[in-house]
Amino acid sequence: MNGTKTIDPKVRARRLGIRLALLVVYAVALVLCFYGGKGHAILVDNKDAEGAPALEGIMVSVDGREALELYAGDRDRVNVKSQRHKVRVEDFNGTILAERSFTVDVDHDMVLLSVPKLVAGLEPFIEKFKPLDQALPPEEPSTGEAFTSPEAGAETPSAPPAAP
Amino acid sequence: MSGKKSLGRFFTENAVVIIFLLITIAAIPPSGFSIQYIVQEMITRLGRNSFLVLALLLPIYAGMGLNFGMTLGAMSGQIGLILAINFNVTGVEGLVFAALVGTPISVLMGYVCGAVLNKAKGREMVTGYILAFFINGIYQFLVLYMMGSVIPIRSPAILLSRGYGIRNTLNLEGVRQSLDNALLLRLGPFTVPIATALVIVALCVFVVWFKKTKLGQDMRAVGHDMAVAEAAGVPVDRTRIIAIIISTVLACYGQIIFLQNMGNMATYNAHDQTSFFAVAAILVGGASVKKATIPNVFIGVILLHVLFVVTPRAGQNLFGSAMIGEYFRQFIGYGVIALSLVLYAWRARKDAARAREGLRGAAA
Amino acid sequence: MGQDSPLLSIEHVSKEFYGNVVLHDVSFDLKAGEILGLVGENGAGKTTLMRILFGMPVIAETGGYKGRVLIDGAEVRFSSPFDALDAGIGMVHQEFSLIPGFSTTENIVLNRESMRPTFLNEVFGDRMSVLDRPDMRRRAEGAIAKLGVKLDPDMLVSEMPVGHKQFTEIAREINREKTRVLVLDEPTAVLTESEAEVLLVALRNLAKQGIAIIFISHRLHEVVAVADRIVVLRDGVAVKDTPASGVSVRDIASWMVGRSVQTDRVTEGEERSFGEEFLIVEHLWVDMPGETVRDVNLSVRKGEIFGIGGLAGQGKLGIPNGIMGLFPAGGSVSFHGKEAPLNDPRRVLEMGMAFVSEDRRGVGLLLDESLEWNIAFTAMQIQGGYLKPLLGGLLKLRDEAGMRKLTEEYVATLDIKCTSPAQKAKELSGGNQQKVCLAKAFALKPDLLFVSEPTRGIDVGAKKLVLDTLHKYNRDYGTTIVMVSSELEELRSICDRIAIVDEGRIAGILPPSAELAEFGLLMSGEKAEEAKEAGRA
Repeated sequence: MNGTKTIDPKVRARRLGIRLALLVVYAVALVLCFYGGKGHAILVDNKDAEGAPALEGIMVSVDGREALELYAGDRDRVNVKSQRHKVRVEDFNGTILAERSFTVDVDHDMVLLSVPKLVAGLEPFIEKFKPLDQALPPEEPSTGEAFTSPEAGAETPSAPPAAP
Repeated sequence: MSGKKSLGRFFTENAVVIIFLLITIAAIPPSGFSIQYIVQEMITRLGRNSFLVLALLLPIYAGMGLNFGMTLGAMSGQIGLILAINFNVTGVEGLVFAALVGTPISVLMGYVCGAVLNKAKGREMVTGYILAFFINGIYQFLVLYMMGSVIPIRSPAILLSRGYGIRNTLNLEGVRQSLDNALLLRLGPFTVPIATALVIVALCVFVVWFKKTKLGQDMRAVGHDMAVAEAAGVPVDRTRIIAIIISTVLACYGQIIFLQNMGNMATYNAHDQTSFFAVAAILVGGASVKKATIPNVFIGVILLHVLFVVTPRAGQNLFGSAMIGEYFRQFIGYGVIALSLVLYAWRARKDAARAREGLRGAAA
Repeated sequence: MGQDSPLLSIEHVSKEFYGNVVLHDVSFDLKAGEILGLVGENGAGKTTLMRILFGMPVIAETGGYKGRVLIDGAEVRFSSPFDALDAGIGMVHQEFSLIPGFSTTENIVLNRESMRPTFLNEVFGDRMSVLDRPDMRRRAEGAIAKLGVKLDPDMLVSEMPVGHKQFTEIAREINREKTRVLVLDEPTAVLTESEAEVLLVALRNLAKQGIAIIFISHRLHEVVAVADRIVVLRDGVAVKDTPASGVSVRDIASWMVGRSVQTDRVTEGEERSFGEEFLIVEHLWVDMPGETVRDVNLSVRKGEIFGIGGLAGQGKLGIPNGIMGLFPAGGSVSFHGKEAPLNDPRRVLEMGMAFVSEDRRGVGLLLDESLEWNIAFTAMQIQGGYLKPLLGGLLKLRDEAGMRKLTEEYVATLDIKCTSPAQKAKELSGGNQQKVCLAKAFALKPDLLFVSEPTRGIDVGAKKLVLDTLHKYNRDYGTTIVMVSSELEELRSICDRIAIVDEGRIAGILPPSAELAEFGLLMSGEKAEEAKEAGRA
């Protein structure tokens, strides 16, 4: 069909509507992926916190996954996607000490979940994790002068050593 | 036609495939790899590379030759991935996010590329190749200088220590093999990434369906004879641009699939040879500048990559140096492109002469 | 369709290209269901007229045309071929505009395919519709049936015999619902006799269904056979507009070529005697694009000037180009009783043949070099002339003085207008460049000289000079000349015998004194037998 061909205005209106709707779908998909795929590392922490001492031995399960065994002073890590999660804390006998839903701030890539606080019912039991200043390994920018194939890179995945 | 003559024609038409098959078969025993290892490796590499190679099909249908401009799509995909990593969007969602970000960029890139190629009809391949170098400059400027300075980057882990510019090697930890692992099938000793395979099958179905559409028919017409198509009222330039846009967008998705399988990304040269290897693969599979089919893609990916897997080890075992294998891999990659182009030109001349033979008199 | 008012009228149409009048006050009418035969020599204006009718952009780009084109009594002025199509004018071109890799059906409905919409239409527009192949096929079969011929709807065009291609092209035009006027430009040129026969029947069929047809052909017997009315164009003027009944092929031929200009025969009254037949060509074929030679047999006698004429595209240019090895050729050529190798330009040159190409600027001249170089070049390359041996022949140096002397000699004898022998060839006028080409060939002192289109693109005065030069050279040195030209008049003015080429074969050989109508008949592929008789005389 020639581009110059006139289209029935009704059809045109309908198409415009559908196209706009698709743009909305695109935006929604982008937002959904962003929030739904956003990864957070939850550091499950069983250390003394203000007002709540560490617990003896507990099992912590996030979103019903395999439970982490934590003794006093332990810390472990769970990687999750999206923001709403459930956490359940049991002792080794299977007694549920606490079961809560919580929300992670979208902007926090890594949060600290303090189990003692959670069990003691203190808020906030979740806070942003502030890592100690890590010096990033120095790296020289190079602009790909080397004519090696991407395949070659594949064979040695740790191409530039990221040793600190 | 006599059997001998048609056999001869079969050999000339499939010369590249046959030569490759022979080299590959010859290189397997000295490598010492087990067949099982090679098959598993092929399953992985089919998942990794097929999508990119399939992206080459439409421009060939439209008579624009091998789309070396697909590198533009690869760069768009990488920008999408950089942003996904930057926002720490992980898993399959991260890949979709990268694809959604990459789509408008690759559409724009495809449009630019198509418009430029329309100004260089008949020289699309070399123009696309050079255009990719040019856009590479823009990409590097964007990623090396703008990101972290003008474009805010929230994750310092992906920035160079100087504070702006993306690191040389990007760890794609969050999305690593997330598509491949979304649905894994154990088949005897082999692991098959079903989700990736489904995406590739979906693309094949799309390509087959697309050929049945009006636009697909127009592309074929333009590919066969631009002047006739134009005279019949087919908007030739527009059709060619659309072919390149689709190819570029597919290359963008293909690069994302490729990189999620690799698990890390050489920010500044992952795209360098994307088009080169895709083109080599499709040519090895028996395609020509004018004609390519879906089977060409898969045959090509398998043949080329078996060779890539076995030559370094074969080189090591035969000559005591893996570098020999690496050298052969480069040498063969470029060689096959040159060979295919030469064979194509030679065959085109032969065909033209044969077509005119009918015009000669009894004496011929 | 018994209506009497014309469907299409051409009224007082004139057209000039940069002051060069190609059509002058042409008028004719065409009724529905009528077949109009349009005949004329090359350059008579047929193509230009059809371009005007079809709204080709080249017409507007060169200043438009005068006069009017009316359809159903209303004036139309098309700005593009698509407008003409919309108005119901279909055109079947001389060269096939089919897509070779497509089937008959796909070509017939090209860009007018039947489609079923899909959801993606809403997003990406109508081109995402899926083709409705059964319906396309049905429509194609309908068009083929209307034409009344047998065509396989699924055959690829590249695998078809040419006749079927032609039918496919016509079927495509009548597949448009609106098509009422069909223009066929040399539709039978590539067909065999039996295919042409079928085509003519098909055209009659179409006419009966009310389609008006303009039939352009140089095969006059076909025109007589199929047309209801005949319009003859000569030098841009419609010299004849007559009903076809009672008109003979001979009449048309004489209207076509009958110029008022008198030929001044240079050789009037001169008795000529020639030596043995020393160039014998048998079953020559030449694969020269656009000028294919299919099967040529001829012999040239020593000392004569042998002319080769014919319409453009029939293969006359292919003959010298093939013999001289510039295009792939086959058959046998014997020269001086020895077999001349084909496809080997150097050997042929060494045997004593020389060639002045019609492609002066491409093949004939080294444009950026001096006249000296141009004239002496071939002689130096082939015969080793104008080279001085040095160190016992180990090295060879150009004999600059010899080259200059040679050039000065030819500049004087051929009256080449130049500032000095060192002037560059590209700076000369067309006529003088042609003389340089001749000088270059003469410098070889050939036994046989092929001259191809020696007067193309040069002005009248220069034409005469070139012809005189050839004539004089023939008389003075006894060089045999084979001259190929589109201009019958110049062939008749200096040649001893003239062969007319038609469809890659020699249609006949005539003496220059033969009637113009005879030449016209040969060019139209008529009565080759009768003409041969005349050629023997």
